[in-house]
Amino acid sequence: MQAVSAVRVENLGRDFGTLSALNGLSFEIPQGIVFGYLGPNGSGKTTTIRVLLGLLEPTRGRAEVLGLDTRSGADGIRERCGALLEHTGLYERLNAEDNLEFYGRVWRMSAGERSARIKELLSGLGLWERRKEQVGSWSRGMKQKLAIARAILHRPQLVFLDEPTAGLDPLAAAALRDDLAQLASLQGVTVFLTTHNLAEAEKLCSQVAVIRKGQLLKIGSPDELRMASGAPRLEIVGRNFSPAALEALRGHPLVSGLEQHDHHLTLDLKDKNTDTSPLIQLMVTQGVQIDEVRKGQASLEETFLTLMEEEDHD
Amino acid sequence: MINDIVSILWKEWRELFRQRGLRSALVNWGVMVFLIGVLMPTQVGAEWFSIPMLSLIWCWMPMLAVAGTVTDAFAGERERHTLETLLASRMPDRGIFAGKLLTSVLFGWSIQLGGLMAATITINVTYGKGQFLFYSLDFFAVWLVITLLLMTLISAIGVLVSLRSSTVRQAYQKMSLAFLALVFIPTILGPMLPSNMLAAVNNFLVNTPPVPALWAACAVFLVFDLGLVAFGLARFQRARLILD
Repeated sequence: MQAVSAVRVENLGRDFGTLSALNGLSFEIPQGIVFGYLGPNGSGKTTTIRVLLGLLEPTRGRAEVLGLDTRSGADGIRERCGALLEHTGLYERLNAEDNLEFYGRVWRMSAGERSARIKELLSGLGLWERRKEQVGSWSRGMKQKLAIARAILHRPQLVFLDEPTAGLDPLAAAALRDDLAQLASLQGVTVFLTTHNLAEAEKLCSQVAVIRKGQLLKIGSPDELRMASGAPRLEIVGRNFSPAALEALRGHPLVSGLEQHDHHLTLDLKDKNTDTSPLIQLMVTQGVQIDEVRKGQASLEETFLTLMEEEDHD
Repeated sequence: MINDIVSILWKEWRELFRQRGLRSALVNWGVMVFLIGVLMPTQVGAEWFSIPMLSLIWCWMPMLAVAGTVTDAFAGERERHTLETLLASRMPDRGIFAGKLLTSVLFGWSIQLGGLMAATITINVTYGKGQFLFYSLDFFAVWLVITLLLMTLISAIGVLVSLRSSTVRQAYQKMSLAFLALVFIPTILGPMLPSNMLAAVNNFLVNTPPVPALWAACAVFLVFDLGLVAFGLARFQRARLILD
Protein backbone atom coordinates (compact mmCIF):
# COMPACT_ATOMS: atom_id res chain seq x y z
CA MET A 1 0.00 0.00 0.00
CA GLN A 2 1.32 3.43 -0.91
CA ALA A 3 2.11 5.68 2.06
CA VAL A 4 -0.07 8.77 2.39
CA SER A 5 1.76 11.99 1.57
CA ALA A 6 2.00 14.56 4.32
CA VAL A 7 0.77 17.20 1.90
CA ARG A 8 -0.58 16.91 -1.63
CA VAL A 9 -1.60 20.03 -3.48
CA GLU A 10 -3.19 20.02 -6.92
CA ASN A 11 -3.65 23.14 -9.00
CA LEU A 12 -4.38 25.09 -5.82
CA GLY A 13 -5.63 28.64 -6.14
CA ARG A 14 -6.91 31.21 -3.67
CA ASP A 15 -8.24 34.62 -4.62
CA PHE A 16 -8.97 37.62 -2.43
CA GLY A 17 -11.30 39.72 -4.56
CA THR A 18 -9.41 40.43 -7.76
CA LEU A 19 -6.05 39.48 -6.22
CA SER A 20 -4.85 35.97 -6.84
CA ALA A 21 -2.77 35.02 -3.79
CA LEU A 22 -2.17 31.44 -4.93
CA ASN A 23 -2.37 30.22 -8.48
CA GLY A 24 -1.96 26.73 -9.92
CA LEU A 25 0.17 25.38 -7.08
CA SER A 26 0.91 21.67 -7.34
CA PHE A 27 3.36 19.76 -5.18
CA GLU A 28 3.62 16.79 -2.87
CA ILE A 29 5.51 16.38 0.40
CA PRO A 30 6.37 12.90 1.66
CA GLN A 31 6.04 12.20 5.38
CA GLY A 32 8.92 12.57 7.81
CA ILE A 33 10.97 15.23 6.05
CA VAL A 34 11.76 18.88 6.66
CA PHE A 35 10.22 20.78 3.78
CA GLY A 36 11.35 24.33 3.10
CA TYR A 37 8.86 26.75 1.60
CA LEU A 38 10.69 29.77 0.31
CA GLY A 39 9.51 32.97 -1.23
CA PRO A 40 9.75 36.72 -0.85
CA ASN A 41 7.31 38.66 1.33
CA GLY A 42 3.77 38.53 -0.05
CA SER A 43 4.49 35.50 -2.21
CA GLY A 44 1.67 33.43 -0.67
CA LYS A 45 3.50 31.41 1.99
CA THR A 46 1.14 32.31 4.84
CA THR A 47 -1.92 31.86 2.62
CA THR A 48 -0.69 28.39 1.70
CA ILE A 49 -0.37 27.45 5.39
CA ARG A 50 -3.83 28.84 6.13
CA VAL A 51 -5.32 26.81 3.29
CA LEU A 52 -3.48 23.66 4.36
CA LEU A 53 -4.76 24.07 7.92
CA GLY A 54 -8.30 24.42 6.61
CA LEU A 55 -8.58 27.98 7.87
CA LEU A 56 -9.19 29.29 4.35
CA GLU A 57 -10.98 27.45 1.58
CA PRO A 58 -9.23 27.20 -1.77
CA THR A 59 -10.85 29.06 -4.63
CA ARG A 60 -9.59 26.49 -7.13
CA GLY A 61 -7.99 23.09 -7.01
CA ARG A 62 -7.60 20.98 -3.92
CA ALA A 63 -5.23 20.22 -1.10
CA GLU A 64 -4.85 17.15 1.06
CA VAL A 65 -3.04 17.07 4.38
CA LEU A 66 -2.24 13.67 5.90
CA GLY A 67 -4.77 12.16 3.52
CA LEU A 68 -7.58 14.55 4.53
CA ASP A 69 -9.13 17.06 2.17
CA THR A 70 -8.81 20.61 3.49
CA ARG A 71 -12.42 21.38 2.56
CA SER A 72 -14.10 18.42 4.20
CA GLY A 73 -11.56 17.28 6.77
CA ALA A 74 -10.30 20.54 8.27
CA ASP A 75 -11.10 19.53 11.85
CA GLY A 76 -9.17 16.28 11.42
CA ILE A 77 -6.23 18.13 9.91
CA ARG A 78 -6.03 20.57 12.80
CA GLU A 79 -6.29 17.65 15.22
CA ARG A 80 -3.15 16.08 13.74
CA CYS A 81 -1.07 19.22 13.07
CA GLY A 82 0.76 21.79 15.11
CA ALA A 83 1.48 25.34 14.02
CA LEU A 84 3.65 28.29 14.77
CA LEU A 85 2.23 31.02 12.60
CA GLU A 86 3.32 34.54 11.75
CA HIS A 87 2.92 35.64 15.38
CA THR A 88 3.90 33.52 18.37
CA GLY A 89 0.26 33.40 19.51
CA LEU A 90 1.29 33.27 23.16
CA TYR A 91 -0.90 34.62 25.95
CA GLU A 92 1.44 37.23 27.35
CA ARG A 93 -0.48 37.72 30.60
CA LEU A 94 -0.04 34.04 31.42
CA ASN A 95 3.19 32.37 32.44
CA ALA A 96 5.01 29.87 30.24
CA GLU A 97 3.65 26.84 32.02
CA ASP A 98 0.04 28.08 31.77
CA ASN A 99 0.45 28.73 28.05
CA LEU A 100 1.47 25.12 27.48
CA GLU A 101 -1.04 23.85 30.04
CA PHE A 102 -3.86 25.52 28.11
CA TYR A 103 -2.87 24.03 24.76
CA GLY A 104 -2.32 20.66 26.44
CA ARG A 105 -5.94 20.85 27.58
CA VAL A 106 -7.01 21.97 24.10
CA TRP A 107 -5.40 18.81 22.70
CA ARG A 108 -7.04 16.73 25.41
CA MET A 109 -3.82 15.45 26.90
CA SER A 110 -4.25 13.85 30.32
CA ALA A 111 -3.00 15.80 33.35
CA GLY A 112 -0.05 13.45 33.84
CA GLU A 113 0.87 13.50 30.17
CA ARG A 114 0.63 17.30 30.12
CA SER A 115 2.89 17.90 33.06
CA ALA A 116 5.51 15.39 31.88
CA ARG A 117 5.55 16.77 28.35
CA ILE A 118 5.67 20.40 29.55
CA LYS A 119 8.64 19.58 31.76
CA GLU A 120 10.38 17.70 28.95
CA LEU A 121 9.94 20.54 26.44
CA LEU A 122 10.73 23.45 28.77
CA SER A 123 13.78 21.67 30.17
CA GLY A 124 14.98 20.87 26.65
CA LEU A 125 14.68 24.51 25.64
CA GLY A 126 16.30 25.79 28.84
CA LEU A 127 13.10 27.48 30.01
CA TRP A 128 12.09 25.25 32.92
CA GLU A 129 13.48 27.55 35.60
CA ARG A 130 11.51 30.45 34.16
CA ARG A 131 8.22 28.65 33.70
CA LYS A 132 6.39 30.77 36.29
CA GLU A 133 7.34 34.08 34.66
CA GLN A 134 4.77 36.05 32.70
CA VAL A 135 5.55 35.54 29.02
CA GLY A 136 5.01 39.24 28.25
CA SER A 137 8.26 40.06 30.03
CA TRP A 138 10.32 37.66 27.90
CA SER A 139 12.65 38.38 24.99
CA ARG A 140 11.51 37.61 21.45
CA GLY A 141 13.84 34.64 21.24
CA MET A 142 12.45 33.08 24.41
CA LYS A 143 8.90 33.60 23.22
CA GLN A 144 9.77 31.99 19.91
CA LYS A 145 11.17 28.93 21.70
CA LEU A 146 8.04 28.65 23.83
CA ALA A 147 5.82 28.97 20.76
CA ILE A 148 7.71 26.12 19.11
CA ALA A 149 7.25 24.03 22.25
CA ARG A 150 3.53 24.74 22.05
CA ALA A 151 3.41 23.73 18.38
CA ILE A 152 4.92 20.29 19.08
CA LEU A 153 3.42 19.80 22.56
CA HIS A 154 0.83 17.23 21.44
CA ARG A 155 3.28 15.34 19.21
CA PRO A 156 1.66 16.29 15.90
CA GLN A 157 2.30 14.31 12.71
CA LEU A 158 2.87 17.50 10.76
CA VAL A 159 4.03 20.83 12.08
CA PHE A 160 3.85 24.17 10.26
CA LEU A 161 6.54 26.59 11.32
CA ASP A 162 6.46 30.09 9.90
CA GLU A 163 9.91 31.65 10.32
CA PRO A 164 10.72 29.65 13.47
CA THR A 165 14.26 30.93 13.96
CA ALA A 166 13.40 34.60 13.48
CA GLY A 167 14.58 36.48 16.54
CA LEU A 168 16.73 33.68 17.88
CA ASP A 169 20.42 34.19 18.57
CA PRO A 170 22.78 32.09 16.39
CA LEU A 171 23.34 29.49 19.11
CA ALA A 172 19.65 29.08 19.82
CA ALA A 173 18.88 28.97 16.09
CA ALA A 174 21.46 26.22 15.56
CA ALA A 175 20.09 24.25 18.51
CA LEU A 176 16.58 24.60 17.15
CA ARG A 177 17.69 23.43 13.71
CA ASP A 178 19.13 20.31 15.35
CA ASP A 179 15.87 19.75 17.22
CA LEU A 180 13.85 20.11 14.04
CA ALA A 181 16.13 17.74 12.14
CA GLN A 182 15.73 15.20 14.96
CA LEU A 183 12.00 15.69 15.02
CA ALA A 184 11.85 14.58 11.40
CA SER A 185 14.52 11.88 11.43
CA LEU A 186 13.80 10.24 14.80
CA GLN A 187 10.11 10.85 15.35
CA GLY A 188 8.97 10.86 11.73
CA VAL A 189 7.28 14.26 12.09
CA THR A 190 6.93 16.21 8.87
CA VAL A 191 8.07 19.80 9.24
CA PHE A 192 6.69 22.42 6.87
CA LEU A 193 9.03 25.35 7.30
CA THR A 194 8.91 28.80 5.81
CA THR A 195 12.04 30.85 6.15
CA HIS A 196 13.94 33.73 4.65
CA ASN A 197 17.16 32.23 5.89
CA LEU A 198 18.31 30.29 2.84
CA ALA A 199 21.42 28.94 4.53
CA GLU A 200 19.10 27.46 7.14
CA ALA A 201 16.90 25.88 4.47
CA GLU A 202 19.99 24.49 2.78
CA LYS A 203 21.19 22.84 5.99
CA LEU A 204 17.87 21.60 7.25
CA CYS A 205 15.53 20.81 4.40
CA SER A 206 15.58 17.71 2.27
CA GLN A 207 13.09 19.32 -0.11
CA VAL A 208 12.58 22.92 -0.97
CA ALA A 209 9.90 24.77 -2.94
CA VAL A 210 10.32 28.31 -4.18
CA ILE A 211 7.18 30.35 -4.82
CA ARG A 212 6.56 33.83 -6.05
CA LYS A 213 3.31 35.70 -6.59
CA GLY A 214 1.46 32.57 -5.57
CA GLN A 215 3.08 30.40 -8.21
CA LEU A 216 5.53 27.58 -7.80
CA LEU A 217 8.85 28.36 -9.46
CA LYS A 218 10.90 25.32 -8.50
CA ILE A 219 10.72 22.30 -6.23
CA GLY A 220 13.31 19.67 -5.36
CA SER A 221 16.19 18.98 -3.04
CA PRO A 222 18.52 21.94 -2.41
CA ASP A 223 21.12 20.17 -4.61
CA GLU A 224 18.67 19.70 -7.44
CA LEU A 225 17.66 23.32 -7.28
CA ARG A 226 21.25 24.51 -7.34
CA MET A 227 22.02 22.21 -10.27
CA ALA A 228 18.97 23.31 -12.19
CA SER A 229 19.36 27.00 -11.63
CA GLY A 230 23.00 27.75 -10.97
CA ALA A 231 25.88 26.92 -13.32
CA PRO A 232 28.70 24.74 -11.99
CA ARG A 233 31.64 26.93 -11.12
CA LEU A 234 35.34 26.96 -10.48
CA GLU A 235 36.62 29.26 -7.78
CA ILE A 236 40.28 30.21 -7.83
CA VAL A 237 42.17 32.09 -5.15
CA GLY A 238 45.43 33.48 -6.45
CA ARG A 239 47.38 36.47 -7.84
CA ASN A 240 48.44 38.03 -11.16
CA PHE A 241 45.08 37.78 -12.87
CA SER A 242 46.34 39.77 -15.86
CA PRO A 243 43.92 41.17 -18.49
CA ALA A 244 45.43 38.77 -21.03
CA ALA A 245 44.81 35.78 -18.77
CA LEU A 246 41.22 36.86 -18.11
CA GLU A 247 40.67 37.43 -21.84
CA ALA A 248 41.99 33.96 -22.63
CA LEU A 249 39.74 32.37 -20.03
CA ARG A 250 36.71 34.32 -21.18
CA GLY A 251 37.18 32.99 -24.70
CA HIS A 252 37.72 29.39 -23.58
CA PRO A 253 35.02 26.97 -24.85
CA LEU A 254 34.52 25.43 -21.36
CA VAL A 255 33.75 28.79 -19.74
CA SER A 256 30.36 30.52 -19.91
CA GLY A 257 31.12 33.43 -17.61
CA LEU A 258 33.77 34.98 -15.43
CA GLU A 259 33.94 37.27 -12.43
CA GLN A 260 37.04 38.56 -10.65
CA HIS A 261 37.45 40.51 -7.40
CA ASP A 262 40.94 41.08 -5.99
CA HIS A 263 42.43 37.63 -5.40
CA HIS A 264 39.25 35.71 -6.22
CA LEU A 265 38.27 34.50 -9.65
CA THR A 266 35.00 32.67 -10.31
CA LEU A 267 34.52 30.82 -13.59
CA ASP A 268 31.02 29.66 -14.60
CA LEU A 269 31.41 26.35 -16.40
CA LYS A 270 29.19 25.11 -19.20
CA ASP A 271 29.10 21.53 -17.92
CA LYS A 272 29.36 20.20 -14.38
CA ASN A 273 31.40 17.20 -15.59
CA THR A 274 33.99 19.40 -17.23
CA ASP A 275 37.63 18.39 -16.78
CA THR A 276 39.04 21.63 -15.45
CA SER A 277 42.76 20.83 -15.88
CA PRO A 278 43.03 22.67 -19.25
CA LEU A 279 41.80 25.82 -17.53
CA ILE A 280 44.36 25.50 -14.73
CA GLN A 281 47.05 24.90 -17.32
CA LEU A 282 45.99 27.97 -19.26
CA MET A 283 46.16 30.14 -16.14
CA VAL A 284 49.61 28.84 -15.22
CA THR A 285 50.93 29.54 -18.72
CA GLN A 286 49.45 33.06 -18.48
CA GLY A 287 51.47 33.64 -15.29
CA VAL A 288 48.65 33.37 -12.74
CA GLN A 289 49.87 32.27 -9.31
CA ILE A 290 47.28 29.85 -7.96
CA ASP A 291 46.90 29.37 -4.19
CA GLU A 292 43.61 27.45 -4.06
CA VAL A 293 41.12 25.89 -6.48
CA ARG A 294 37.53 24.91 -5.54
CA LYS A 295 34.92 23.35 -7.74
CA GLY A 296 31.40 24.07 -6.61
CA GLN A 297 27.83 25.10 -7.18
CA ALA A 298 25.92 28.27 -6.56
CA SER A 299 24.55 28.48 -3.02
CA LEU A 300 20.81 28.14 -2.46
CA GLU A 301 20.72 31.85 -1.83
CA GLU A 302 22.27 32.57 -5.23
CA THR A 303 19.91 30.08 -6.82
CA PHE A 304 16.97 31.79 -5.12
CA LEU A 305 18.09 35.21 -6.32
CA THR A 306 18.59 33.88 -9.85
CA LEU A 307 15.07 32.49 -9.83
CA MET A 308 13.68 35.81 -8.68
CA GLU A 309 15.62 37.67 -11.37
CA GLU A 310 14.44 35.27 -14.06
CA GLU A 311 10.88 35.89 -12.94
CA ASP A 312 11.41 39.64 -13.10
CA HIS A 313 12.66 39.32 -16.68
CA ASP A 314 9.69 37.14 -17.64
CA MET B 1 -17.45 19.59 23.89
CA ILE B 2 -17.73 20.06 27.68
CA ASN B 3 -13.96 19.59 28.01
CA ASP B 4 -13.37 22.19 25.31
CA ILE B 5 -15.60 24.72 27.05
CA VAL B 6 -13.89 24.03 30.38
CA SER B 7 -10.47 24.53 28.74
CA ILE B 8 -11.49 27.93 27.38
CA LEU B 9 -13.03 28.86 30.74
CA TRP B 10 -9.81 27.84 32.49
CA LYS B 11 -7.75 30.06 30.22
CA GLU B 12 -10.14 33.02 30.27
CA TRP B 13 -10.43 33.11 34.06
CA ARG B 14 -6.69 32.80 34.45
CA GLU B 15 -6.15 35.66 32.02
CA LEU B 16 -8.82 37.73 33.73
CA PHE B 17 -7.14 37.34 37.11
CA ARG B 18 -3.63 37.74 35.76
CA GLN B 19 -4.53 40.92 33.87
CA ARG B 20 -4.35 43.09 36.99
CA GLY B 21 -3.21 40.55 39.50
CA LEU B 22 -5.38 38.29 41.64
CA ARG B 23 -5.73 40.77 44.49
CA SER B 24 -6.81 43.60 42.22
CA ALA B 25 -9.29 41.36 40.40
CA LEU B 26 -10.81 40.24 43.70
CA VAL B 27 -11.01 43.84 44.90
CA ASN B 28 -12.89 44.84 41.71
CA TRP B 29 -15.25 41.92 42.13
CA GLY B 30 -15.62 42.68 45.82
CA VAL B 31 -16.50 46.34 45.22
CA MET B 32 -19.40 45.27 42.99
CA VAL B 33 -20.58 42.74 45.53
CA PHE B 34 -20.31 45.35 48.29
CA LEU B 35 -22.42 47.85 46.35
CA ILE B 36 -25.26 45.47 45.51
CA GLY B 37 -24.95 43.25 48.57
CA VAL B 38 -24.16 45.63 51.43
CA LEU B 39 -24.53 49.31 50.57
CA MET B 40 -27.85 49.22 48.70
CA PRO B 41 -29.58 46.69 51.00
CA THR B 42 -28.52 48.68 54.07
CA GLN B 43 -30.11 51.80 52.61
CA VAL B 44 -33.28 50.03 51.48
CA GLY B 45 -33.75 47.98 54.66
CA ALA B 46 -35.84 44.84 55.21
CA GLU B 47 -37.90 45.72 52.13
CA TRP B 48 -34.97 44.49 50.05
CA PHE B 49 -36.50 41.03 50.40
CA SER B 50 -40.17 41.91 50.89
CA ILE B 51 -40.30 44.05 47.72
CA PRO B 52 -38.00 41.85 45.65
CA MET B 53 -38.10 44.00 42.48
CA LEU B 54 -35.87 46.45 44.35
CA SER B 55 -32.93 44.09 44.18
CA LEU B 56 -33.55 43.20 40.55
CA ILE B 57 -33.22 46.83 39.49
CA TRP B 58 -29.58 46.69 40.58
CA CYS B 59 -28.88 44.01 38.02
CA TRP B 60 -27.56 46.70 35.75
CA MET B 61 -24.38 46.83 37.81
CA PRO B 62 -23.09 43.30 37.13
CA MET B 63 -24.35 43.75 33.56
CA LEU B 64 -22.15 46.82 33.25
CA ALA B 65 -19.21 44.82 34.61
CA VAL B 66 -19.87 42.11 32.02
CA ALA B 67 -20.10 44.71 29.26
CA GLY B 68 -16.64 45.92 30.27
CA THR B 69 -14.97 42.51 30.16
CA VAL B 70 -16.78 40.66 27.37
CA THR B 71 -15.37 43.02 24.74
CA ASP B 72 -12.03 41.28 25.21
CA ALA B 73 -13.42 37.91 24.11
CA PHE B 74 -12.44 37.94 20.44
CA ALA B 75 -11.28 41.51 19.84
CA GLY B 76 -8.65 41.06 22.58
CA GLU B 77 -7.39 37.82 21.08
CA ARG B 78 -7.27 39.47 17.66
CA GLU B 79 -5.47 42.54 18.99
CA ARG B 80 -2.87 40.46 20.84
CA HIS B 81 -2.37 38.13 17.83
CA THR B 82 -3.46 34.98 19.67
CA LEU B 83 -6.67 34.36 17.74
CA GLU B 84 -5.15 32.72 14.67
CA THR B 85 -3.18 30.23 16.75
CA LEU B 86 -6.32 29.34 18.68
CA LEU B 87 -8.26 28.92 15.44
CA ALA B 88 -5.46 26.76 14.02
CA SER B 89 -5.87 24.35 16.95
CA ARG B 90 -8.26 21.43 17.14
CA MET B 91 -10.69 23.39 19.29
CA PRO B 92 -14.13 23.25 17.63
CA ASP B 93 -16.01 26.45 16.78
CA ARG B 94 -18.75 25.76 19.30
CA GLY B 95 -16.24 25.08 22.06
CA ILE B 96 -14.51 28.41 21.52
CA PHE B 97 -17.75 30.37 21.21
CA ALA B 98 -19.47 28.72 24.17
CA GLY B 99 -16.34 29.02 26.32
CA LYS B 100 -16.07 32.74 25.66
CA LEU B 101 -19.78 33.28 26.26
CA LEU B 102 -19.87 31.25 29.45
CA THR B 103 -16.86 33.08 30.88
CA SER B 104 -18.79 36.33 30.76
CA VAL B 105 -22.06 34.86 31.95
CA LEU B 106 -20.41 33.27 34.96
CA PHE B 107 -18.44 36.43 35.73
CA GLY B 108 -21.64 38.52 35.84
CA TRP B 109 -23.66 35.88 37.62
CA SER B 110 -20.97 35.36 40.24
CA ILE B 111 -21.25 39.06 41.12
CA GLN B 112 -25.01 38.68 41.28
CA LEU B 113 -24.83 35.59 43.52
CA GLY B 114 -22.09 37.13 45.65
CA GLY B 115 -24.31 40.19 46.05
CA LEU B 116 -27.26 38.03 47.08
CA MET B 117 -25.21 36.23 49.71
CA ALA B 118 -23.87 39.50 51.04
CA ALA B 119 -27.37 41.03 51.07
CA THR B 120 -28.76 38.05 52.96
CA ILE B 121 -26.14 38.47 55.65
CA THR B 122 -26.47 42.27 55.72
CA ILE B 123 -30.26 42.33 55.95
CA ASN B 124 -30.43 39.57 58.54
CA VAL B 125 -27.71 41.04 60.72
CA THR B 126 -29.13 44.56 60.50
CA TYR B 127 -32.84 43.98 60.37
CA GLY B 128 -33.40 40.29 61.19
CA LYS B 129 -34.26 40.51 64.88
CA GLY B 130 -33.92 36.77 65.23
CA GLN B 131 -35.99 36.06 62.12
CA PHE B 132 -34.50 34.80 58.86
CA LEU B 133 -35.40 37.28 56.13
CA PHE B 134 -35.17 36.17 52.51
CA TYR B 135 -37.14 36.10 49.23
CA SER B 136 -40.12 33.83 48.95
CA LEU B 137 -39.10 30.54 47.39
CA ASP B 138 -40.99 31.16 44.12
CA PHE B 139 -39.42 34.60 43.75
CA PHE B 140 -35.99 33.21 44.53
CA ALA B 141 -36.41 30.66 41.71
CA VAL B 142 -37.39 33.31 39.17
CA TRP B 143 -34.65 35.62 40.46
CA LEU B 144 -32.02 32.96 39.78
CA VAL B 145 -33.32 32.34 36.27
CA ILE B 146 -33.89 35.92 35.22
CA THR B 147 -30.49 37.13 36.43
CA LEU B 148 -28.83 34.27 34.56
CA LEU B 149 -30.77 35.12 31.40
CA LEU B 150 -29.89 38.81 31.70
CA MET B 151 -26.19 38.00 32.07
CA THR B 152 -26.49 35.72 29.04
CA LEU B 153 -28.20 38.48 27.08
CA ILE B 154 -25.50 41.07 27.72
CA SER B 155 -22.74 38.46 27.22
CA ALA B 156 -24.18 37.27 23.91
CA ILE B 157 -24.43 40.85 22.65
CA GLY B 158 -20.87 41.46 23.85
CA VAL B 159 -19.45 38.35 22.20
CA LEU B 160 -21.15 39.29 18.94
CA VAL B 161 -19.74 42.82 19.11
CA SER B 162 -16.30 41.48 20.00
CA LEU B 163 -16.45 39.01 17.13
CA ARG B 164 -16.79 41.85 14.63
CA SER B 165 -14.38 44.37 16.18
CA SER B 166 -10.72 44.66 15.35
CA THR B 167 -9.68 46.15 18.69
CA VAL B 168 -10.87 45.96 22.28
CA ARG B 169 -11.33 49.72 22.29
CA GLN B 170 -13.60 49.57 19.27
CA ALA B 171 -15.57 46.73 20.81
CA TYR B 172 -15.90 48.62 24.08
CA GLN B 173 -17.23 51.71 22.32
CA LYS B 174 -19.82 49.65 20.45
CA MET B 175 -20.72 47.80 23.63
CA SER B 176 -21.19 51.02 25.57
CA LEU B 177 -23.68 52.19 22.96
CA ALA B 178 -25.47 48.83 23.07
CA PHE B 179 -25.60 48.98 26.86
CA LEU B 180 -26.96 52.50 26.82
CA ALA B 181 -29.61 51.43 24.36
CA LEU B 182 -30.52 48.35 26.38
CA VAL B 183 -30.70 49.91 29.82
CA PHE B 184 -31.22 53.61 29.48
CA ILE B 185 -33.38 54.12 26.41
CA PRO B 186 -36.42 52.46 28.03
CA THR B 187 -35.83 54.65 31.10
CA ILE B 188 -35.67 57.80 29.01
CA LEU B 189 -38.35 56.93 26.49
CA GLY B 190 -40.74 55.40 29.02
CA PRO B 191 -41.95 58.69 30.53
CA MET B 192 -42.44 60.09 27.02
CA LEU B 193 -45.18 57.58 26.23
CA PRO B 194 -48.78 58.92 25.97
CA SER B 195 -50.37 59.24 29.41
CA ASN B 196 -53.03 56.57 28.78
CA MET B 197 -50.35 54.10 27.70
CA LEU B 198 -48.23 54.97 30.73
CA ALA B 199 -51.24 54.44 32.98
CA ALA B 200 -51.87 51.04 31.40
CA VAL B 201 -48.21 50.01 31.89
CA ASN B 202 -48.28 51.29 35.46
CA ASN B 203 -51.52 49.46 36.10
CA PHE B 204 -50.03 46.27 34.70
CA LEU B 205 -46.90 46.58 36.83
CA VAL B 206 -48.84 47.31 40.03
CA ASN B 207 -51.57 44.75 39.59
CA THR B 208 -49.75 41.86 37.99
CA PRO B 209 -48.24 39.48 40.51
CA PRO B 210 -44.47 39.88 40.12
CA VAL B 211 -43.54 36.23 39.91
CA PRO B 212 -45.70 35.30 36.87
CA ALA B 213 -44.72 38.57 35.19
CA LEU B 214 -41.07 37.78 35.72
CA TRP B 215 -41.50 34.26 34.36
CA ALA B 216 -43.07 35.82 31.27
CA ALA B 217 -40.07 38.15 31.03
CA CYS B 218 -37.80 35.11 31.38
CA ALA B 219 -39.50 33.52 28.38
CA VAL B 220 -38.88 36.67 26.33
CA PHE B 221 -35.23 36.87 27.42
CA LEU B 222 -34.76 33.18 26.68
CA VAL B 223 -35.96 33.71 23.11
CA PHE B 224 -33.61 36.67 22.69
CA ASP B 225 -30.71 34.74 24.23
CA LEU B 226 -31.20 31.71 22.03
CA GLY B 227 -31.57 33.91 18.96
CA LEU B 228 -28.37 35.81 19.75
CA VAL B 229 -26.40 32.62 20.46
CA ALA B 230 -27.62 31.03 17.21
CA PHE B 231 -26.76 34.21 15.30
CA GLY B 232 -23.33 34.36 16.94
CA LEU B 233 -22.57 30.75 16.05
CA ALA B 234 -23.61 31.41 12.46
CA ARG B 235 -21.26 34.42 12.35
CA PHE B 236 -18.39 32.42 13.81
CA GLN B 237 -16.45 31.48 10.69
CA ARG B 238 -12.74 30.79 10.99
CA ALA B 239 -11.89 32.19 7.56
CA ARG B 240 -13.78 35.39 8.27
CA LEU B 241 -12.23 35.80 11.69
CA ILE B 242 -8.73 35.40 10.29
CA LEU B 243 -9.22 37.75 7.37
CA ASP B 244 -10.88 40.40 9.59
